[in-house]
Amino acid sequence: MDSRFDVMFPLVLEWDGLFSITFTLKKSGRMAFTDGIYYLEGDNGSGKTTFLSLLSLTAGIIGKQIGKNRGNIAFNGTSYHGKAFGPVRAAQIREKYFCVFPQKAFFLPVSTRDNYMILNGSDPEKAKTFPADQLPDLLSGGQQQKVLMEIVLDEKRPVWFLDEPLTNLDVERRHYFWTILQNAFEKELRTIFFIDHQMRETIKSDPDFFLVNTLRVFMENRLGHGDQNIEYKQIDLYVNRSPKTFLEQRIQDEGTVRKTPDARCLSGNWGAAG
Amino acid sequence: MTFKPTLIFLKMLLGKDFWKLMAICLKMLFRKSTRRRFICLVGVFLFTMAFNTWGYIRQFNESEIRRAEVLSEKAFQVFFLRLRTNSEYMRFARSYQKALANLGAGIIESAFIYQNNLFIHFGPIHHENKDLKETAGKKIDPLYRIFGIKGVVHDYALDDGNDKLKVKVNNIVINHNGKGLTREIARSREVDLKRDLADAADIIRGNKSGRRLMVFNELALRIRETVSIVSTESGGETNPYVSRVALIVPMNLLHLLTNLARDNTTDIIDFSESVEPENGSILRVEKRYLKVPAKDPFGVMYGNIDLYPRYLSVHMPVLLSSKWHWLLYKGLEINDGFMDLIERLHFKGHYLFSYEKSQIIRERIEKINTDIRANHIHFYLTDLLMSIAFPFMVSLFAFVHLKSEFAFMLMFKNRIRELLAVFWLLPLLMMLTMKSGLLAAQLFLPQAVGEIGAPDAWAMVLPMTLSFLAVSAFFYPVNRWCFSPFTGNRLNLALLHKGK
Repeated sequence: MDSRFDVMFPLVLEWDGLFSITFTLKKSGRMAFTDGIYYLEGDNGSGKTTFLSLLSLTAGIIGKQIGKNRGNIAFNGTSYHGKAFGPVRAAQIREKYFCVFPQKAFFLPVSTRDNYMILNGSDPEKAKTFPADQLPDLLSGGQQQKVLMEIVLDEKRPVWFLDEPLTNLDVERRHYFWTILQNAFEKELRTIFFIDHQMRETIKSDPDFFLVNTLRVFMENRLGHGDQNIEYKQIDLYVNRSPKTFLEQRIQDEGTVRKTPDARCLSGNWGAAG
Repeated sequence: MTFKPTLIFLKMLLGKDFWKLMAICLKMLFRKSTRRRFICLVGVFLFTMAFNTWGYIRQFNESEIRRAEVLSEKAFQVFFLRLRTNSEYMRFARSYQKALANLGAGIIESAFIYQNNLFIHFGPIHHENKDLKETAGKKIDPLYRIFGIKGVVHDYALDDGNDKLKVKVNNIVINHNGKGLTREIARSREVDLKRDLADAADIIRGNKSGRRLMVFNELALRIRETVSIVSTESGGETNPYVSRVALIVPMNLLHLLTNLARDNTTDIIDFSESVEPENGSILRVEKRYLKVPAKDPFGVMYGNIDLYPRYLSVHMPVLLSSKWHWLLYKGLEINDGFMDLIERLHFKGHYLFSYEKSQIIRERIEKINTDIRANHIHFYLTDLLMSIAFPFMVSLFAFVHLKSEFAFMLMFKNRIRELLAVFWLLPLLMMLTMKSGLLAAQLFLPQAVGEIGAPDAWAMVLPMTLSFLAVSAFFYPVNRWCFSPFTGNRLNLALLHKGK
């Protein structure tokens, strides 16, 4: 399944003329996102999540009413500002192609099984593995993250938007997460957009990742409150075109860490032994 | 809506996903934090709607019963017009008979009111022509029903079958209105009646003389003296529109006197024995004397006999009819042409026997029509208002309390159409269930709900259906507007799912 984003810059997100975010590209006026892992590196508030929201059709103006010099995004040749493009078409694309893993775990206030049926529902057998009487809101943050991962990450969809998916996860679940990614790449997954502050050094030191471009993000608050100066922040875009080695390395690293604890620690009598 | 979207919509309604989503939406609305508020909202919604609908049904029922009563009121099919003289009758007949016929009305030939007494033919109408017989029967039947004498008139002649020449006659006059009269007044009525009959006999006998005159007078006396005044067969309430009628006198008495007066062939001895009293009011008379004499050229019996002023009876079988209004209710329509003619005649001296009847009819029809129209307009306005306002509140409630959940769901699944359909259909289904229940209670269990079912109660299904369809159509864009953050060209699922 193809997964190609063509983005024309400057990309402008504007709300009622009161607030705007403008993304510009350091090199060139357009950029294509194709197969591989894209890592977005930037400070807090630099607009990484907003940029992913624009790509994943969860925020922004869609349809034909975009103005001139407001940029454009096209997925597999379908422009987000095309004539026949509307909320239903956007939802169809999201359902068929995208997995959006949100920054904060969120569920519908029903059982985990119902959550799976409504949010994914692609595999009735898998649905049975989720408890019908368990409310996900009562789980811990890490457990919620894991359950959400199992519900929404669908290996049949080619593009995953992962916004800090590793937050709250312990070593074992991080290992599980990288395993999911590896399995998915062997199936339909083609492109990952990835944000994670803790992975910054790992990514930068990885020889397979290289800096492909830099986004300059201008934010303008036209409400008249606060700082009136238009400032900009930067987002570095790293890409790994063949993530197989990287994923294997991550699985190996997290697996090693997982095996590290003393067996006595797991037996529950480590206190006495200590 | 074109064919393809309709097909997609129906396919969606039949799909499992839709009903699964509806169940999940209901589960979310009934979660602990919103349960009470949602139940209160739905409770108030259904109670108010039910109250309004039940009010409409009750009023509809009441109006329909009144409408049916007016339509079946036989007194509104017969009008008695005053004619002062014989010549005036002739003029009237010439001028208006055709006009009456054009309006679907006709003069009842075998009945008139004289001195507050109704002279009316008792027994079957004898015509050689079958068609004429049926027409005459149809015309006089309403009169029998108004005065409640249908059974009595057919028992007037008591043919025992053994005697081929003679027949027994139940020589009665019916006391129509006057049960509570004092003996003196009742006696006075009887005396007046007998005097009228004597006058009639004098007029009818013509220039008879000699012994045949003496015998005729004797026979006429026998007839008068054996008359017995009896009460009406039903013994029920007198129809208020004809309550001025005191006695109902068989016109057959006039037939008898006429046939006696015209008989010049019978031997005088046989003639004197042709009318013989038996027990009580029973008279034994020659069969041929009961024949109906020939009518006047204009079709009325005894129009040439000077029993004036008299009230001529005019039959108008379709004065009132039902007419569908574009607001889908049945109102009453009055034959204005006929009523205008009656009023014109009234002001030309042809007063109505119940002079206020024409005004009463118009006022009653207007009042019933006004009530029916007011009930329907009130129902349409209140039902449309409530049926859009409350579902709007339900949709808004769902959006406000579940926007994060919906935004989150839409990030993964294309459920926009289903979501809109769920919150469009949910209030409609609630309304449909409630209204159908009330309607069924009224239509199938009218006794159980303490109502007398209106004869045409099914007619209320149409306005209720129209209102429901209108609500369904109006509520669709309203509901869509409630969820516009998900359906517009400005997407912000990322913020919405954070509850912003």
